[in-house]
Amino acid sequence: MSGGPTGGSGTAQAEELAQVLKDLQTQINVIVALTIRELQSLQKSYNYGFAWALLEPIMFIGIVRLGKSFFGGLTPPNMPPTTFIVLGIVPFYLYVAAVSVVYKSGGTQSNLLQFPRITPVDVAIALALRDFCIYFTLFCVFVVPASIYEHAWPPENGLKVALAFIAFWMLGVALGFVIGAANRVFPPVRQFFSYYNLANRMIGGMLFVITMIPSLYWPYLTWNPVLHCSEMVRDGWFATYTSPIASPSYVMLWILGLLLLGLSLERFERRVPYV
Amino acid sequence: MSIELRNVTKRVRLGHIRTTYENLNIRLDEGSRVAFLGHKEAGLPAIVNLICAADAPDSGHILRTRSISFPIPTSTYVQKHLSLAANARFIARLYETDERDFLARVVEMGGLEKFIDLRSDKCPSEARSLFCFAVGVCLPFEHYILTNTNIGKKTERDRIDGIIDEVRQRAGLLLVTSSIKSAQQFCDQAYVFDEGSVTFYDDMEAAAERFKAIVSKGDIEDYGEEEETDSVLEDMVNTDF
Repeated sequence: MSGGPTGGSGTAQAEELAQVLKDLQTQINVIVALTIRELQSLQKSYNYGFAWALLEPIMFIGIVRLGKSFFGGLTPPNMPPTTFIVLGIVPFYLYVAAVSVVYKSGGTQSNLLQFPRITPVDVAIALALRDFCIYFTLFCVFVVPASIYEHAWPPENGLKVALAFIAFWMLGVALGFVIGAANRVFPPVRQFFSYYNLANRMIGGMLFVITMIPSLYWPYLTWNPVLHCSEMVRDGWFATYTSPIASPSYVMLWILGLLLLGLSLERFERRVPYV
Repeated sequence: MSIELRNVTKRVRLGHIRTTYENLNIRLDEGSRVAFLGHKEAGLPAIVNLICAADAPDSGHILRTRSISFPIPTSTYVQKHLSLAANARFIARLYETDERDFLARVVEMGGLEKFIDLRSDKCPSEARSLFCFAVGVCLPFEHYILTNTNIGKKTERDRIDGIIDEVRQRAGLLLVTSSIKSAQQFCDQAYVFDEGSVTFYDDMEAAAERFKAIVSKGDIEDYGEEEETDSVLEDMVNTDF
């Protein structure tokens, strides 16, 4: 009978684990419900919201492609230009959109929080998932025809491209939580975010790969996890390109570090009144 | 115990309304029928937000040991460009309930056969309020929070009162109101809120007397007899602040 207490403790642990799993399932269901609602709500702002989400990257891709036609040399010779541009721009826009929605939702008190089972984290993740769906659709719509037209289809490693795309999104969500927490106590931080965003357009690998830059400057650029993600996308797509710097583990460390910091700050700041 | 506020301090800021509740201690027992009586400057929406975990107190703790509803009939989740059915499906997904079965119950309870597939902004306001009420009441909570009892058309009030009566038999009820009549009809106990102070009454007559005194002491309008009182409060609860 010596197994009695141990057995009881084991049962209690199993029950606790079952409860944790049940709570996790509930949270997933809440996020799914909110994401579907957010996707449905795109209809209401179709003219301004959803259309703009499509138009902005389209315009940017068009301008860069025209620049390439006029000036040349903006894209590397071993990668077809339109596919190269689309692979850089759409994931980067996803990253920016994920940061923006997560930090903005952290700074405002959603009416949906009146539902006791919805937390601010659920709302933020649902909004980010909505943007993931939009930009993933956009990515497929642009990159598949462009790569077929430029004979760069199929991707060398589709799984790597998909994981890099998800890494972009997760990095955006994680940074969004950190900026959102900072925004609660220091609203001007959003101004710093716009400066960072502008700088990242230049150094995040949206329009270049690292081999286009003299190796002398690499140490000043390779700290940036966004650049690693951009490199991973192109490395996965083009058989003609192997990135010398792309490091999934480095990106994962950034994601985990920022998530830990952002979620801890969110928890810490729950008593801070909304501005 | 179902809901307990322990030493809660909250500064309420609703436009020009500034109220501070300090060391608030409120206990709602399992199955209890309690009214929160307060006029519109008492900051009740902020207290409701605390109970629903929509907001955190400045200090103190809030304990919830039972499943608590959202403020019924809140309309904050209703997307106006979607049909009532689509909005009900969102709630069904949120509360992990069978969508078809839930929708059927909402339609039956609200008498919404004609409106359920209409865009919610094309529905009459009575149908919308019936919908929001039915959506909340059709979910199985252990404690319901009602912020309005004047639901639908006046001709349907008896039926709605019957539903609320049935709800308070099977679960706890927290009625957040400025209507003495509703509080006396549905509740056995009351907390009377005045700017910054809360008093508990085990006797609804005494609570009513106290609330009347609060209303009549200043130039605050007497809401007790007004039909639209609760919709004023509901608007405040639904306000994004």
